[in-house]
Parts: sequence; structure tokens; C-alpha cells
Amino acid sequence: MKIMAEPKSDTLSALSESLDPLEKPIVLAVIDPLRYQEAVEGLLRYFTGKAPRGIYVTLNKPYGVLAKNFEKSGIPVASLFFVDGITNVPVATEEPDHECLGSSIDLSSLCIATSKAVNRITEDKFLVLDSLSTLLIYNDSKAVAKFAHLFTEKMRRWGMACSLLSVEMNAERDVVSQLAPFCDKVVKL
Amino acid sequence: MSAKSTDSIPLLVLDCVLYGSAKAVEYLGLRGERLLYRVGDGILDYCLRAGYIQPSKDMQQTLGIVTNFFIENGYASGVDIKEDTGNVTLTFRGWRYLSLMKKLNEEHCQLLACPLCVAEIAIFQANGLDTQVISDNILADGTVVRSVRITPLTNPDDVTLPGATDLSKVKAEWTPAVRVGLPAFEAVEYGLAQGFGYLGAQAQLLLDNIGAGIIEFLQDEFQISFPKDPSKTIENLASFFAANGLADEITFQISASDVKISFQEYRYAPVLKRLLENQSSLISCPCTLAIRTCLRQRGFAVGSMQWAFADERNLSLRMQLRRVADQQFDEEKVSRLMESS
Repeated sequence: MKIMAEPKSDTLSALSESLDPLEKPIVLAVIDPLRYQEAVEGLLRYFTGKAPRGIYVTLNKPYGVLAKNFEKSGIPVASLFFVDGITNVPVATEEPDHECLGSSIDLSSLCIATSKAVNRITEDKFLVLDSLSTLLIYNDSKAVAKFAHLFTEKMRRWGMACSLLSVEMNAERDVVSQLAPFCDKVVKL
Repeated sequence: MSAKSTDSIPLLVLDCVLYGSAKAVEYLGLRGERLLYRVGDGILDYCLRAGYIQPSKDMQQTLGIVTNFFIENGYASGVDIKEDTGNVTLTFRGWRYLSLMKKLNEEHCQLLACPLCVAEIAIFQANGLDTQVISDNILADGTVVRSVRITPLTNPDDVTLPGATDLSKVKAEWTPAVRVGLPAFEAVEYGLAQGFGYLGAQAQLLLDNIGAGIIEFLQDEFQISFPKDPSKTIENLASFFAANGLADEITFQISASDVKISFQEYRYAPVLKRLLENQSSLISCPCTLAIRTCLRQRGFAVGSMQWAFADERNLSLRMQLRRVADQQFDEEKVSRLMESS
């Protein structure tokens, strides 16, 4: 029995083809777990090429680890502001390039922290949320869907491009079908 | 088992995790196999760092060292490897994977979760080579003869697995008397957490899927009951895993906000220690994964998990609980707060 994987497409050109016709797209990126890193970097390359600044909400890896990885991959890290909901800190801390919220952040606090980050950057910007899958570990899928709905609504209202990441998981904890109608595009990476 | 594995654990404890891992990635189809190969990388990493195997730059030698490690730990009584112009014939005698392979095949799951195999495939891949299983033959005495083609690794996303193998004569059963060395158990457990670690915190979702597979395995093979009352379910799991040597004693207390578990002579402790040293918060202990899954199925999400070591093998765990079944997200209120922040 043999299954041939589809040839690895250039993530950046695939994203360009799919997203370029859209103005400030709201994108749900469904990521093959085997290609997680490559897909995240592809998305960042795409968005950093479109807007001078970006907000990266990380719930998976501490901002320090991510910043180093992105830098190695040639992504302009200096243009990013990280909202970190994974690093364990006793109290929330704010620095010029990141904000640590603590690791047990609830959905409401995450929304508020994100809106603060949006307000602090006056230039044209995009936002990446990494990831909805992590939120599903600690939250009910209906609550995550509501959260994502509000999130996308705000991004649209504030005129920002945005990508919500979701790693392809089993159907039980899948929110993709619930969220797809609120997004301009669902891309599989 | 050799002097290296002075302590052992029933095969069934390892197999429930391997079963869970195959089932956890089954939704990806054959791509799931690639995730299992990452577990192979983690197995090798653990064995090297724990000093269970010695490093070698020679691929053939490394394959031999890893094979011997699994033989010494009782996972096979012998493995012969014969090479012939790009093809390799592997003969597994007393291969402990057979029962699990039969169970998975009966459930139409073709994924190969054998830790010896995924570790060896990881070695081939690290050397730029791919393996394609051509056939598996089961002899009357249970010996498995596997033909494998070795090719350059062109597309790491391609997967070739054997078609359905006739395992009708294999008797699949798990008794506490059939055991494997603790080093092999530790290496697999570490391999799971480490292998999925590149995904960050969300890897726990995959590990929790393993928990669901473990529960299925225990229900199917040992008729363990999982009552709706979380306390009774945890009690059943704690009794089962203590009776089968994961720890000498597992006790717990549950409240509305947390579960506290104490493990005496916990065989997973060396793995946990290494994961914590790596700053990893991922957990692959079968008992803990099964408990997390049961709690989730009963409407509780596990938040932070705090471990406290009394000494090397005696420790306690506090799992913070959050009731997700009643969770509310007030969009209007949060929307107002976002606008005013």
C-alpha cells in the first residue's frame, strides 16, 4: 500500500494565489501537523510582505523560542509584537516587543490583551493567532467558536488582515466547520 | 532480559500506549505513520542520553545497537538482518509486537507502531534513506519474515506500509507475566512526548488522543469500567496501573477544582524528569493521559499540571480542573471590553 503525498507546494506562492485577490483577508489556516513549522513560516512571510507590522499571538511556544526560530528563517522579527499566552509568569509583563499574559489565560482576557496590542501599534498591521487547537485543550469547542467569531469580527472592523491557525486534529475537537463561514478564506497548508 | 534491564513492566502497559498512539494519528491516514517516525527519533534521543545505547556514526552499527537494545529489553528474542542489493530481509523471532499488530489489523488500522521499527526507520531517514515494506510473512512458530526495500529518501511525505497480513494464527493476549524492560518502556514514553514536541503545547491534543486509545484498549482487553463518576473512574485506572507495575501505589484525591495524585515507585519518573529538564510540559504517562481523557469526557478540562518530587521515584501531581461543560463566553460583554481597552 502506498500513498504519494502531494508535491510540496511553495507555501508562499500558494498563499499569494489564494489571498492576493482579497483586501485584508480573514483567513482560517488548517495546517497539516507534519508541516506545522513550514506553514507558520510561510504565513508569516506572506503577511510581513503585505503590512509593515504584525501581532503574533502565541499559545504554543514561548515568544523567545519563536523569535529565535523566525529570525533563523529570515522572517523580520523586529516587525512583530508577540502576545504570549504560554510562558509561565507570576504577573503579566509588557515589553516593547512582547507581552506575557501567563499560561492559564482565559478567552476573555486573551481578547482584551489582543485588543490592547492592536491599539499600541498605529501602523498598518496583521494578526496571527497560533492556535485555535491549543485553546481547545482548555476550553469547550462552542466557547472557542464564539471567541473566534468575535475575534474575526473585530479584525474586520479594525481593518486588519488576520490568520487563525488550526492544526488538523480529529473531528471531535474540530472547530473548522463552525468557523469557516466567518472567514474570507480557508486555506489548507 | 540483560543486566541493563534489571526492572521490567508488563508488556500490556507499553501496548496500551502503542495502541493509543496508532489510534491517535489514524485520522491522518497513512500520513499518521510519519508522526510515529518522529516518535522513533525521540526513542533514539532518550536511549543515547540515558546511556542505554552508545553513539555510532556507522548506520549499520547503529541499527545493530538499537536492535540489541530492544532484544535485551525483551521486545524480541532475536532479529536477523540480511542485506541483498538494496533489499533487506528482517526475521523477527519472539516479536512482542505481534499481538498488537493483530489487534490493529483487525480494526483496519495499518499503521506500524512497533517501537523497534519506528526507531530503525528513524535511523534510515537520518541517513537519507527510505524503507518500503514489500511483504510480511508469518511462519507457523510466530516468526515474522519481512522484506524491505531500501531507497534514497526522495519525498519524506511518502509512506509505504505492508498490506493486510494474515495474522489469523496469532493469539493476541496480554498477561502481566509477559514483560519488557523498563528502559524500552521509558524510551517509548519519552519518544511520544518528544516526538510531538515540535508542535508546542497543542501536541497535548495528540497525546490526549492517545489517552482515548488507552481507554479503548483497557475496555476491550481488560473490561475496565469507566463510570460517569470521575472519582470511580480514576480509582479504576489507578488500581489497574498500580496492579500492572506503573507504580507500586497510586492514590488520589479529587475536588471540584483539582485532582491530586501520588505515585509511589513510579516507573515513569525518569521520563518525567527528563521532560521537565527539557522545559517540556507534555506528558505521556498512560495513567495520566487516561485520567485526563476521562475527565474531559465528563466535562472537565485539565489546566496546569504541577509535579512535586519527594525523591527520584516518589512524587505527586496536582491537576487543576476547569469545568468546560458550563463554560460561557459572553461575546457582547467581551466585545465592549475590547473596544474600551
